[in-house]
Amino acid sequence: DAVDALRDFARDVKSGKANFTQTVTSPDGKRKKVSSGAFEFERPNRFRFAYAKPFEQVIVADGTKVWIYDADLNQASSRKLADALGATPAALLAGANLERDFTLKALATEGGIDWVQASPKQAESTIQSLKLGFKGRDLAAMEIVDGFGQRSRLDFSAVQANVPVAAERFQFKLPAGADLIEQ
Amino acid sequence: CAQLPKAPPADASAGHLSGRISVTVAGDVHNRGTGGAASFELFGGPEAGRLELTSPLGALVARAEWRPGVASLQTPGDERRFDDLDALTRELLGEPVPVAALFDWLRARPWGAAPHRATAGGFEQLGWRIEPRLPSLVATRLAEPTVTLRARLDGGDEGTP
Repeated sequence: DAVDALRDFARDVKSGKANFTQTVTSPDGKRKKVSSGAFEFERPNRFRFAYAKPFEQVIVADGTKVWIYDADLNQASSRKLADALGATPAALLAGANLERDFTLKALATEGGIDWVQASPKQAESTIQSLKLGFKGRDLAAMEIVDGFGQRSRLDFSAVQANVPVAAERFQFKLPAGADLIEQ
Repeated sequence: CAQLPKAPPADASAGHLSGRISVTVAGDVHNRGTGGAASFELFGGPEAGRLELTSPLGALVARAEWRPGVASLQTPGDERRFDDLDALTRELLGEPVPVAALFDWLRARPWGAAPHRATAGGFEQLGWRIEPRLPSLVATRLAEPTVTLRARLDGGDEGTP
């Protein structure tokens, strides 16, 4: 079931690439915001979410820090990985030790996707629920419902498992003239 | 903690603005710059309204609601009350940011409830220099420490419902 798929994924897939579409639904369900981009990761704790549409934004975890850069605002912020990653969805995908950080439970199959619920072991008030979806052994989707009830769903496509990813993809270079906020 | 009694729906006629916003408080020799960036949704108006801040990965990180006499700031797992919006934004951002004026600044016009002075790049109001280049806006607080607010309104359909 999906718990086995997630365990295999966490054990066997050391790196990977995929395209994603992210749909954020407001707590009252009335407003949706769709964005899309490319995702790359390498265990442990290195990933890149590069949003291309509707605007350019990138989130890079280089193993020690998480950087967020917004091209329009020309501003970057960086945060130590420990406080940024914790029990976040990114930890589920690229974290070092899945079963140490999360309790796993298989959920019903829905829309052709087998879902697994991942409950952070570290009390995490920012996340109400977090689940990953698989089609067979392939990562298909991730859904996060935060403490307010806002839902963020990422649907992955063109998933390539265990493909080499260039190290520089997980390094962040501050563009000239950009503001940097170290939190 | 007591839930804010269901606020009347924010004055919908004043409309809804959404986009991305960053606030940077300049550092000095003693401490580094602070601030942050988030996607925002601004509802209602200066009198009664709501501001929601969302992280890039889609998590709602803060919701501010205000009505005459009370302003509340909800963050995951916590809700706090303030006397007014200035007190709330000082808590949220470390420096007061005139959210009431933002409703007009984000529409590239001075706030009607305070005097302003036209400048080459835009106007000055409430001790801020506002340079609107819609859909972008840069507002800089003139007093030390310098606070720079940058906003970029969502264009097209996903901006307004």
